[in-house]
Amino acid sequence: MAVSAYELITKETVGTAVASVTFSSIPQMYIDLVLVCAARTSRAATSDNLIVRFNSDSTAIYSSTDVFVDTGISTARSANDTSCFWSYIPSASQNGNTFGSATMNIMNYSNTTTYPTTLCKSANTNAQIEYTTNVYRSLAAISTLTMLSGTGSNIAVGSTFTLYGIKAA
Amino acid sequence: MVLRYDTRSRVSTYTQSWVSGAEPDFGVFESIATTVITADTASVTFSSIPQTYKHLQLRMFAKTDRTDADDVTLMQFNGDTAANYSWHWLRGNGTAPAGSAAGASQSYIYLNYACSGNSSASNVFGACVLDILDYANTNKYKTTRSLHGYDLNGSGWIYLASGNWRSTSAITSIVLDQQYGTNWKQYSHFALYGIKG
Repeated sequence: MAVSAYELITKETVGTAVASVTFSSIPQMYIDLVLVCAARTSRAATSDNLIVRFNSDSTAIYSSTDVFVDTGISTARSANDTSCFWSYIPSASQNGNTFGSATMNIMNYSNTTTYPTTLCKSANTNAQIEYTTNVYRSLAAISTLTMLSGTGSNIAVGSTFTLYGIKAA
Repeated sequence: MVLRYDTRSRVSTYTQSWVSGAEPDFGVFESIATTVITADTASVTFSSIPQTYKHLQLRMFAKTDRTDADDVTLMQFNGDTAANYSWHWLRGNGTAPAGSAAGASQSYIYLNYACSGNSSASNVFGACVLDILDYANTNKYKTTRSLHGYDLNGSGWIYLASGNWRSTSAITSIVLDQQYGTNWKQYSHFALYGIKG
């Protein structure tokens, strides 16, 4: 009999607004990680950026390429960033019951000979959908994930973050 | 090349119900096979794919020996080399206007820039998560859906793509090749999963 290759590692629901959510001591026996959220922030606007840092690393070794759709289709890229871009999510000026939805696949996160690559997809009710790839130019295995607002706002109450591991055969 | 096809039963050490003696939960997302490239390898094949799942997911992390920043992953099913494939892309590279492209009556599903080439940094690989829904259904043509791309810190591509194989045959094998390069490079890996339904 086969066993499930998609395992829940940990999850968190924000009960009090916080600056960041951290998952640490991530087991190293999976091939990929999948990070999922339903989240919003306290930024005084309709949307905010949700970013991720690996291993608490805030050096300029992240980069991204994305395509996003709101009133039209656009593309953007960034280099030498201090974090991994994940998603646009609703913030304080949006309806209080509105949370953005995003998924990040972190490929080969524990391999120390290749740079991890992410594949992200997200949607929020500010009529935006986005697809992004990031590279984290470090050979250190990822053992910690820190999720936070890119504008310094708090992660709002009710936001949820869930981390899964995917096993290889 | 190392090809591991695991049909053995395994006990999960992460299932509390098994430890307690209750019926274990084997979940709905199962690993079928994983190929890890240990030396230059021309192509990767998943064969004798079990027909007991509802959908398949292919997760790839790959680099080829093409002397360029990127390459194209080519996919065929059941050894079908005829012009029975087509695809659409939504894509962006950060500067060129995001747009779509399409191919019809092709002999492969083209996963454009789903892998890096050998001119990119040695540690940079392309990534792809591809779903094949209803792969065993003999009343439907097969549809694929993928998110793939790579980033090189100032350049790169991201794709949302669909593919179609105009055959009602159940998928029993998948071949993955490169359009421009000759080999998959060391540390590339290809993992096939079955999703129950």
